[in-house]
Amino acid sequence: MGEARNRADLIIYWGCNPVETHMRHLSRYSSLAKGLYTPEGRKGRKVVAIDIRPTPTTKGADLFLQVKPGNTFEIASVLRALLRGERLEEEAVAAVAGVPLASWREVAEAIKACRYGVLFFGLGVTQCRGSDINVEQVGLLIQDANVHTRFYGLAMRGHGNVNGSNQVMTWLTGYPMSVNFSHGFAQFNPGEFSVLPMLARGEPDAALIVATDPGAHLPADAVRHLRSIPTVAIDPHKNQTTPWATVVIPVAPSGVAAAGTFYRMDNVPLRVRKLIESPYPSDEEVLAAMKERIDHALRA
Amino acid sequence: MHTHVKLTLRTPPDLPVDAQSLIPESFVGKDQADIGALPLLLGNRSVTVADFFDVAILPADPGDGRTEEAREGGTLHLCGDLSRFKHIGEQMACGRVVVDGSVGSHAGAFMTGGALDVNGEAGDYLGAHMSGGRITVRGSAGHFVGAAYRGYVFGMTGGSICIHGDAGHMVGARLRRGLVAVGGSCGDLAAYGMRAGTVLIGGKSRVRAGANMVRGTVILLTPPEAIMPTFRYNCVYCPGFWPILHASLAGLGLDFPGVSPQAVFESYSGDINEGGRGEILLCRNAN
Repeated sequence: MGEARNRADLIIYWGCNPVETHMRHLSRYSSLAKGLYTPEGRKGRKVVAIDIRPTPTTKGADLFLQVKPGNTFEIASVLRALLRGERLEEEAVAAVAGVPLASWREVAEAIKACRYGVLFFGLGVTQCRGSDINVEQVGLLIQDANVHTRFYGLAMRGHGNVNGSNQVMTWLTGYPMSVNFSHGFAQFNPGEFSVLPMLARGEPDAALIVATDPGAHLPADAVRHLRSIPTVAIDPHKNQTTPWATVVIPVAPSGVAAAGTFYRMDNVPLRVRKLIESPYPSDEEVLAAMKERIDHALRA
Repeated sequence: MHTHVKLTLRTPPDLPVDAQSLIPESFVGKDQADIGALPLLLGNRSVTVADFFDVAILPADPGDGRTEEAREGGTLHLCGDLSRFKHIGEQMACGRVVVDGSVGSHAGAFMTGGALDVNGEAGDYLGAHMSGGRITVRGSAGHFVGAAYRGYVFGMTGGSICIHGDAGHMVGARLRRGLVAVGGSCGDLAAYGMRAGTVLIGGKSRVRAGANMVRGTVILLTPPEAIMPTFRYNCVYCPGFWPILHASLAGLGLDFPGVSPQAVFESYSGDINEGGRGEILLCRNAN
């Protein structure tokens, strides 16, 4: 994000609304920030917003394209074709996602003309029809943009340290998520080993829930299965999961009463310190004690 | 003389079972006790075939003996609801597996030969990465039929998959060679990133059929929800191969009553982002 702050003269917000979800993002890292090679701040940057409805972020953009929901893949495909100089006939492709082809040409020309562009994409890209394939197509779009200029893409991650578990799983197994160890080695297959499909199929017969709240975030069917099996919840707060979890282990909140490392959404590690004492142990201490007991039981 | 082993499931398990040992090669030349001792993985716990199945070694079925696959490697006959059993028929090279019931995910994945007949439903990743042999599913199949696993460039590289019912998303994704035919409808992104080969969808296909395809042929017998904007209309013509493919599919029991061997197709070429050498053939005279 430091690169975006110091260099980006084109910023595209796609399917995200950082004015409301990442409040200091614009002033510190993107459109409003003044950087080494962007001393004029907002005046020196062109800002494009692509979203399905007007938001505070789109109001501050130079160009706002209001698109029909569920067309992320088609938009990325057409932008790729325009960047590659492919012929798209106005009669055959009059509009994409409800936006005239001429507007997409304008975006493609802005990408070609910029010195350094950054695409920030959010849940509007990753959670609409096509999900992971949308991200792949956006990745290919960024690859095609780099034929013309320097261009980067960054996912706007939500929640504190949501990137942390991805980082740890990657350095342990080579995979960021959806890892299965039942064969004694790591297997990766989103969809087969992701939380939601596994719960939908009713496969898990026990669950360890660490620093998350499935009772608030997962669909009712998935929560119903979780409630039917033994669950252990490790969390500093009372939440929608703790009332029905079989065992709840309260822990000290990280960054307040426990030290640790947070990973920012651009994969930068940030060390957080302990500010106050807590009567509870940290997540790390609880998990280490559980592992020790399990190892002891296996040896016995 | 070929081996004919029948396994009858007593009680379906609650947990998923990895059943990579359920291929004809594992059974040839073994007695009942040896077959019962073959390993399975229940969750993360090792169990045996005898824990779940009644094992019977039958005299060679003359009906099965007539098929080339059965003569070569024997027949494994599975009965019961095997929807929790994953990897059935994975890596099989010869013989025949017949399932009277449903199978779980990864059935027939990495197959190099033989035949897998499922008289029920199939899960995700049916025939993923298969390079030879034949899979027939009388019911419907899940997502990623004949597709590639995450991180791989090529999915299926040979053989044929014939599904009489519907299929999920990403049918034939990253296909490199071979045929995937679906009698019913299919989900999004059929033939996504296909390198070569043939994908045929008899019913309605949802959006993004053929997206990012490099070469190969996608045949849609029913108009899809939409054709990607990165495909270009070419012409209307009668492909020379269609009467042959039509007869071949009829031989596999996949009939399309409204589509004649002389059907006329609209041709679209794409995906232009990947060179535009692939084609979508959209049947024009479905009746």
